[in-house]
Amino acid sequence: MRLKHVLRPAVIISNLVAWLVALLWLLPFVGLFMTSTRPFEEVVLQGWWSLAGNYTLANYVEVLTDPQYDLATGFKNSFIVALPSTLAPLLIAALAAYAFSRFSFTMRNLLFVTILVIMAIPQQTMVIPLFFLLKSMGLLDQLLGVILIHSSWGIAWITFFMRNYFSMLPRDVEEAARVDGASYATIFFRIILPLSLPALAAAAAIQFTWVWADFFFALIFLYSPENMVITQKVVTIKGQYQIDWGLLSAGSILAMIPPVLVYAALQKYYLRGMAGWVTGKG
Amino acid sequence: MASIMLEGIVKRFGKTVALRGVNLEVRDGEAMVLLGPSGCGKTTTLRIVAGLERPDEGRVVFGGRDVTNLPPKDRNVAMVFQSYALWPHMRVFDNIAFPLKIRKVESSEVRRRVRWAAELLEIEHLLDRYPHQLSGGQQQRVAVARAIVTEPEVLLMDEPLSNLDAILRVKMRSEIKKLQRRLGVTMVYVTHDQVEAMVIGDRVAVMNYGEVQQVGSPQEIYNEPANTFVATFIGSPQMNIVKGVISGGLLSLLGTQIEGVEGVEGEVLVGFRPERIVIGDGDLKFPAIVDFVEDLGSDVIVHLSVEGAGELVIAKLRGAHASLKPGEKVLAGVMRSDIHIFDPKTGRALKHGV
Repeated sequence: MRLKHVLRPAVIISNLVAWLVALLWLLPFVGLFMTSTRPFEEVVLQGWWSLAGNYTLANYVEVLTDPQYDLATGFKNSFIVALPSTLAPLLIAALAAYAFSRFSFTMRNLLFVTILVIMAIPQQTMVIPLFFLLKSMGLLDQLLGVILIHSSWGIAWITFFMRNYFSMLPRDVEEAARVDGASYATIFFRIILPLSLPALAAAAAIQFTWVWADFFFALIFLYSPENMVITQKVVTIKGQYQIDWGLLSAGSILAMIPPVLVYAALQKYYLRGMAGWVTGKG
Repeated sequence: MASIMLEGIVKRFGKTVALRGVNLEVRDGEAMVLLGPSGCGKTTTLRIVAGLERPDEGRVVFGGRDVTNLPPKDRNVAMVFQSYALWPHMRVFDNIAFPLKIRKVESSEVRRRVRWAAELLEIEHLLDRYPHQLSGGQQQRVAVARAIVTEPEVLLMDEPLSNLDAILRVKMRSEIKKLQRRLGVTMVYVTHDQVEAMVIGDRVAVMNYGEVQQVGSPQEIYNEPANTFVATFIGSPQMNIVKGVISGGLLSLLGTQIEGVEGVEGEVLVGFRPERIVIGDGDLKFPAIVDFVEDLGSDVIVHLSVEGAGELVIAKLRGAHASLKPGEKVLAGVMRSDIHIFDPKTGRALKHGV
């Protein structure tokens, strides 16, 4: 019975398609990884797809140690930008989302629609006004400027995301606390936030990755070498007349590691955050 | 401890009127049960007492203190929710201790009080567990322990037993009653289960359509229902209600008559309970044909059709009558004292016992 179910043509086909898509999805990464582990001559002469040849970590060592690439500064700056740009909007948006989901106030719906509209605006259209805004604030080529922009951008979607999660939380766990004498602040920090850990973790993982991977804003708002983030630093590995593909790939893979680690660390919560509230599970 | 007064409570949700002028007094230390079908407003009433909802009109008074506009935390109430509403991220100990910690009770006192509440509910051995590691019955006990740990003036319960299985429900309802007696706390208890209401309530307020239909002891509610709604809602199977006419003290119904019915004239509704019907005896006797017999072992539910009158009457008889067969002719009877007269227009009770 069970075997029959597993071997049904529809099941086989859908599995094949899923694997195919997954492999296609994985292919660029495989290419990147292969390239990063081969000497320059082999990459240029044979391409990454040939399995024969020499494997080496030389590219990694070089990209990390050669001072002209200065990935360390890039990593440091990326962390300085990504951490506050994840935590600050998370806290602010969670507070806003709670208000949107629990209290009625004038223009609540209008405000919420505004947030949705902001989410739909392409970043590129905003870049010129933002440039002049940062310039007038004296925050151009400052990490703080980029932090503010990423945080504002994050608040919109995280508010939307968290409000939906809060609306799924059963009301009576809050009302029980209210009857017991808890203030709204106590309810929010001691009941709501702990219960929302899965959603907060999911939002944190997405926002962190998004900020970390950003190249566009960084390119426009940060231009001194000492202020560049990792995505910009990786690009500088590419020389003006010659591209060492091995070095570039190694740098790219290194740059990917932090968001992957964040995903891995939060994965347990992440899945539950996406799946929603399950009654009685702690 | 405190008495509770609800005066003319009106509550609207948008265009729906949930409560249309509820007046109710709960005496100090009394167990008051709000009983009614779903949507009757009993839970809304409870939430207004708790302070979770604010009434659009009317006043809520606790022992002389007007609390209508006070938030729950200033009312010294505690509430047990239908879903128990335990906090899944806290251990049982922390769940019970939470209301004390909110009140900034010293930690040695918190431990002492939590232990006291846990012992009362026999859950001392569960204090280190998380709610999801407990059975439904255990979760329920934790919810009750959390409610009593602050020794509130008013204890509110919103259908606390409806998620338990039948056997546990019967056990818990008498435990809750004993606990309430022992603590002497004023309790308001919401249920749609009439047996639960009768067991737990010192008095029962039967509600329907956002109004209190009748308040009284379980005996009063059963013996002297204020109207046809209360009469048919309380008791199982529900009270038989048939049409009748009274003229000059002569009540005619079911193709028969009874004399000496004073004080009422004209068309009426006549009610009598299935369990008060006897075969072959009674002040009012009417011939009927057995339609259908439901044998419950201890009792038999017999559906009778009354010849000529076109009315159906249900009788609840002793198990000895299980031998009745469909089609059999019987003479059913009721005592005068078991007959209720209702106004056919308003449904209001006019007379209990003729």
